[in-house]
Amino acid sequence: MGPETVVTLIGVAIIVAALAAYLILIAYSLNKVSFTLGTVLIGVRAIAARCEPLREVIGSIGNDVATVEQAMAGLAEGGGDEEDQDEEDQYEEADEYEEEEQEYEEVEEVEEIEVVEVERPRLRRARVRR
Amino acid sequence: MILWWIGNAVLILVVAPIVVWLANKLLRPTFEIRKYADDILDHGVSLTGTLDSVPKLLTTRDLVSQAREGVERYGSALKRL
Repeated sequence: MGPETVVTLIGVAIIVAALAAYLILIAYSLNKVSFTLGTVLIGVRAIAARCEPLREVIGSIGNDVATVEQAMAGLAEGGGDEEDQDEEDQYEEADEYEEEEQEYEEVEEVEEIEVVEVERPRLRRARVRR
Repeated sequence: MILWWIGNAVLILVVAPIVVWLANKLLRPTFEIRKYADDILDHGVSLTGTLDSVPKLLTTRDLVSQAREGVERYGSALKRL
């Protein structure tokens, strides 16, 4: 066996060894991926099973809430007559008028302002009479 | 004989690096897929944790149903008044 044959065999052996190593790594990695994806699949199925009644339950809750909302709206509309509404408006107007009047009185109290000269002529103080 | 040596040189200097390059190119996506799968598993587990309160919706539905009945009874009582 000549030296060129030995070199050829060594080269082929190196390539085959490298390919084998890579294939082993890929197979190991794919095995792990397969296991992980199996676990994910089980989890997704569990989530789907847990979420299955959501549509029915949420629909039922929505219907009940809509019924309650309509009933409350009916109560609010039918609870008072027009006279009661007018009376409430009058009360509100009266309250607003009282508030405005109170503000006006406060302003009137402050309106009387007298400027008094203090001993030092450059300083002036405003005295407020109430 | 010279051709054989040239073939040996090509095998070691060209073919072997190309094999390693291609294998690397194949190996990199495989590891990325593995990382993505692990990531999906982690987030799936956390997603399962957020669904713990879903069974409480049944209680909520019952309570809302009771509230609806109460409001209806209250409305009918007010109508009678």
